[in-house]
Amino acid sequence: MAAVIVELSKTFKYSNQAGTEVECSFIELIEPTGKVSNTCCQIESFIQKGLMEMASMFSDDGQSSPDEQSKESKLDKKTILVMMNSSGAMDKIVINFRDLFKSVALMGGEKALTIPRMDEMSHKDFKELMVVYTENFILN
Amino acid sequence: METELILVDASIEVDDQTVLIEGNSVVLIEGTGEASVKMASMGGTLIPIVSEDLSTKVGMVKFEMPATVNSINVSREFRAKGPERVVRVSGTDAGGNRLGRTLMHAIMTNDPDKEIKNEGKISIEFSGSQLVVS
Repeated sequence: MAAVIVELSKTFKYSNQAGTEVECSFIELIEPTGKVSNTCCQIESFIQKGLMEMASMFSDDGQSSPDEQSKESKLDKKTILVMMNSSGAMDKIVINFRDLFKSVALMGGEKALTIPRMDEMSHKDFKELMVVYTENFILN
Repeated sequence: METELILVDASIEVDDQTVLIEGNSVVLIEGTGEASVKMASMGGTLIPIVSEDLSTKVGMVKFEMPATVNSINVSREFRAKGPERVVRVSGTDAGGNRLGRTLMHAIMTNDPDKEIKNEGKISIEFSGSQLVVS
């Protein structure tokens, strides 16, 4: 699958190969390789757990479960975020994503995202990265 | 009068990667350069003549790393990568005052002794453009 671009709401600076600092306004997310399969599988298992939790809640009141909904249409970002939260392991998901993004996220489409630069990103942008990556590469 | 605090736990990043550093080892040279002043006379009046030495406008960041195997390899990479490195120094004191300086177009200029012994250290020196506030 082609790479996905995520525009940042709050930019930050990173060092490019020319020895200067440039503004990072977007992150390019690339498809995971076998090297990071373990991390992707861990994230997927947490999300599946969240899906099960949501399914049990919905089945109690007779509404259709998210599992049924997902068969009909692609999951939207909000649902993915709710699934992550429902897993009860959001902190572990974040830790796994921080590890994963070192290999699959490129600042400005040219340089691997590093932990210090992730620390500078806004919480909102980081959540957006997690959701977009899940939508395109983990659950797709 | 408020108490002023000395920053003792600055962080150093080379090319966006945080570096392991020894405490109390970070030294910055802003690279504002040296200037000399000589007096000349005109009609018996003394006039100061100021001259800036552009060749001394070199920013520097110096620090020491504990001589772990990882640090020995990392410092070798710094040297091997040659010029065009970016070194950031940042920190916040207990009073919330922030220090931020960036050294651009930097190169590791020294070839340090890598002490393989108890409490061994590696001295690192990066030189480049004048430091900029970040």
